[in-house]
Amino acid sequence: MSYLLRAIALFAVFLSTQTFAVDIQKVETKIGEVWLVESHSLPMVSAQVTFRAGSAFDKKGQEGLASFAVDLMSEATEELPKAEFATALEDKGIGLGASADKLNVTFSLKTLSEYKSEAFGYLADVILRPRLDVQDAKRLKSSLLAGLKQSQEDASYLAARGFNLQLYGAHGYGQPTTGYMRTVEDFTIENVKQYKERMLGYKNMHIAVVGDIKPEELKTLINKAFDDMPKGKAYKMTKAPEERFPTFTRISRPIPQSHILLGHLGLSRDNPDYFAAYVMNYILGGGGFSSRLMQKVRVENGLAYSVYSYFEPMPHKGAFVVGLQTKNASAQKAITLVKEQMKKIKRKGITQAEYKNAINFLTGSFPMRLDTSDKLLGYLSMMQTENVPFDYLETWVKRIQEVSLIDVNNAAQKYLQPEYMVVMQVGGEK
Amino acid sequence: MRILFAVFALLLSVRAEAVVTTDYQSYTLENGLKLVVVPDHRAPVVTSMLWYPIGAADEVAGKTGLAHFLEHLMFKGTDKIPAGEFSKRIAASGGQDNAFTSYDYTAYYQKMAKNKIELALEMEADRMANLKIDAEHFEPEKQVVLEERRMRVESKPMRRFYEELVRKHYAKHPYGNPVIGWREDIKALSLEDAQNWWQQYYAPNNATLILVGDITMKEALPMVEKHYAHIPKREVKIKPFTAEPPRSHEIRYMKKDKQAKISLLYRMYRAPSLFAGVAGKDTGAKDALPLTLLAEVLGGSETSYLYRKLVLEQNIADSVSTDYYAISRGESSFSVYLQPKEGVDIIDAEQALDKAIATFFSEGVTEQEIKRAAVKLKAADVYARDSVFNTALRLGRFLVAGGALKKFDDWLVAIDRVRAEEVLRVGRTYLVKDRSTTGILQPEEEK
Repeated sequence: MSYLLRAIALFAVFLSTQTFAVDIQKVETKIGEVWLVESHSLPMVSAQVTFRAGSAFDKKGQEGLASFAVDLMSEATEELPKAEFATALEDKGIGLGASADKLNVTFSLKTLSEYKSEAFGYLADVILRPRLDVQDAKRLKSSLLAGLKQSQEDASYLAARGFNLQLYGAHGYGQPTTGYMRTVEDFTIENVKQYKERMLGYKNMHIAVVGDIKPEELKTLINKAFDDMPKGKAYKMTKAPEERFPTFTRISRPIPQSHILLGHLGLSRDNPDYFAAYVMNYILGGGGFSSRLMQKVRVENGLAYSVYSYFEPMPHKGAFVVGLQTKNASAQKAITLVKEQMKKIKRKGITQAEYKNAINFLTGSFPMRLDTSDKLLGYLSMMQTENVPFDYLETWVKRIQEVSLIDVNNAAQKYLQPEYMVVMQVGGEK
Repeated sequence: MRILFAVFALLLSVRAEAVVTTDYQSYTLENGLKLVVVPDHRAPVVTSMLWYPIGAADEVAGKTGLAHFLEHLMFKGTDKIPAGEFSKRIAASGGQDNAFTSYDYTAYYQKMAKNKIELALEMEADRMANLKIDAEHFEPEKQVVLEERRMRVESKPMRRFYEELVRKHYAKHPYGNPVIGWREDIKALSLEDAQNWWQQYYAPNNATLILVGDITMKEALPMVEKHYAHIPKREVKIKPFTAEPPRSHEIRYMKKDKQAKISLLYRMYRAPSLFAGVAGKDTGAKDALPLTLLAEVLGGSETSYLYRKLVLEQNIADSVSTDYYAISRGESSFSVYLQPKEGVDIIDAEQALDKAIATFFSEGVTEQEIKRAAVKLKAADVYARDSVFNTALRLGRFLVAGGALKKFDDWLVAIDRVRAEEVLRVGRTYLVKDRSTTGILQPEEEK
C-alpha cells in the first residue's frame, strides 16, 4: 500500500563565491523516514542506524550494558554463527560494526554497491535476529575486561572517566560508556535480550544512508530487511544534570606527565546561545593555533603539546571541557594559565580581529565538515536524534554569520565559570 | 577518479568487478619540483600536500628527532610571515593545516576552499625558500616537542616497550630510532642543527606537491609556477640507509613494567618492502603483494587462521593479529601481536602461537581464502577513496618511498593473480623465528 514519498530539500550553502549543496532526501518506509544523500561517484554505500539507547540510559549496576549489548549483537546472527558470519561479510568486503556513546548506540555499515542488498540484510539481521550465543558472550566479555584492565594504564582514559563522574555526579551522563569491570563481569544473555526488547524498537531508531543508491531501491531494501521490526518506544533524556560543587581530584600514576581535564556544565544544542558559545570557544581553545589557550600554554610557555577546549552539547545541559598534558612540575602553572585565559575573555571580551577570523574560519571551512561519507553520516544522525531543524546544514553558515561580537562576549560571560570548575589531574609524583 | 568495469580472471568467473583507479595529472617544473594533481570535484575543496622524501631515518647518530623538530619549526616564520602566523592565516581563510613526519618523509598540508588554495601554495613555497628560525622560538618549541614525547611515548607502557623492541630489532638500521627522537638527543639539538637540516633538504628538486580535490592541472600549474618556479634548484644528497646486517639468531626482549596491567607479545620478522629487500638486498619487491595477503589470511581479521585457532578454538588469547606494510624506503617487517587471556601464561601462549604458525604452513591455505583477502583489500581501497585527504596521503607515501606514479594502482589488478602457493612460499621464506625479534611485556607484580 505504501508508496514512495520523496521530500527533497536542497541545501544550498553559499560560500564567498560558490555553492555547496547537500541534498537530503526523506525516504518513507514501513519503519519510518530514512534519510538519504545520494552520491554516485564511488561504487559504495554507507549507512548508520542510530538508537537513542546509549550508556546514559544504562541502569545503576548495569553500567556498560548498552555497549556490551550492541557488541554482542554484531558478533553473529540466528542464521550464521560467528565464524560463518565473519566469513560472509569478508567475502563481500562488507564492514559492519556497532558502538555506543553517552546518548546513542550506532550500527554502521559500509559496502560496495554490488553487495548492497546482502549488506542491508546483514545489518537488519544483527539488529533484529542476533545470535546472542553463550560462547560469543564469554569471549567478548574476556576481551572487554582485558580492555578495561588495560585502560587503567591510560592516563587520558582515567582522566576522562574521573572527570565525567565528578562533573555529572549520579546523572547518566557521568556513567562510563564501557562500564566497570564489576558490571561487565555480571552481564548475561538475558540482560542483552531485555536491553534489546526495551530499547531497540523502530520508534527509537533513525537510519541515515549516503552513497551509490537510489531512493526507490533503498526503500525496497529497508522494507524487506526490517520487515518484522518491533515498534518499541522512543526514549529521551528526561532529567537534567545538576550543578555540583567545584572539585579538585588527583590520581597518581608512575608517569612523567600529568593529563588534566577541567571544566563545568555547559549548554544544549538547542540553546539559542549555542552558536555564540561555539564561536567564543573557537577563539578561546577550539581553534588550534588560532586559539588563546594554544598561544599561551604551548607557544609562549612551551608547557604542552596539546591544549584545547570544547563544548559537549547534550540534551538539557552538556559540558564545557578544557584538556591538556604537561610535565608533572608544570601542572599547577598550566591550570592557572587556563583559568586566567577564561577570566580574561570574560572580563575583556574578544577583539574585532579575533571575531572576524573566527567567523571566516567557521564559515569558510564548513564544506570540510562534510567532505567524507562518514562525516556526513555523523551530521545526519545528529540531526535525526537531536532537537535541531531540518534545515540545520542549510542554515549553519548563516547562523554563524548572525553571531555578533557582543553575542560572543555575552556567551563568555554566561557560559564560562573559571572559579567553579571540576579539575581532574592524572599524573606522577606529588 | 575513474571507475573501470574490467572483467578479471575470465576463466574463473564472468563477474565484472568495479575497480576504481586514480585519475592523475603530473608535471615537473624546471627547478625539479614535481607536481601531481588528482581532480575530484565532489566538494569545492582542495587538499594541498607538500612531501619531502626525507624523514627520521635520514638523521645521523646523536641527532635523532631532528626531522620532526624541524617540521615544528617550519611554522616559526619567514621574512614575510611572522612566527605562528602561517596557521592563523590559513584558518582566517577557512582552511585547516598541519604537518607530519615519519621515517621516510616529512609532509605539510592545507585543506582549503577552492578559491583560497593559492594562499596555501604561496605560503608553503615561501617557507621552503625563506624559513627564518630565531632563538626566541627555538627553546619553547623544544619544550613542546619534549611534552609531545612524554604524551606519546613516556606516559604509555606499551609505547615505551615498543620503542625499545624496535631499537633491538634494528640495531644498525635507522628505523631503530623513534621518529620523535630519543629524549637526550632532542634536548641537545641546536638551532644550527635545524638550520642545516632545512638547508640540506628543503629544495624544490627534493619535493613533490600533491593537489587533490576540485582543481585541474590547467588551473593549478600557473599558480604553482608563480610561487615555486623562482626557487632555485639545489644539490641535495640523500644517502642510502645503513643496512641492517643479516642475522641468524633470535632476539628476545622481556620487560616488566609497574604501569602495565596486561601481558602481551609483539614479534617482528624481517621482510622486504616494495622498494627494499632484507639486509640491503635489492630483491623482494615481488614478495610484497603475497606478504600483504599473508598478513590478511594469517592474522588480518576474525576469519584469519590465527584468530580462529587461538581465539575461537583454543580459547587462549583475547586477541591476535598480524601486520605488514609494503610501502617504505627501507626494509619492512612482518609483525605479530598476541594478547593472551587472563590466567594464560604468556610463554604458554607463545608456544601455542608458534605451533599455530607451523600448522598454518603445513595445512596450507585455500584459493578461496586468498580471494576473500583480496576482495577485502580492494573494498578497503574503494572506501579510502571517499576521503580526498586519504587519497593525497596514500599517493604521497607511495611516491616518496620510490613508487612511480603510473604504478600506484597496479596492485589492484595484480592482486588477483597471486596464488595460494605464492603466499605460502613468502611466508616460509620470511617468517623464520631464528631471525625474528620477540618482545614480551608483563605487569610488574606488586610486592
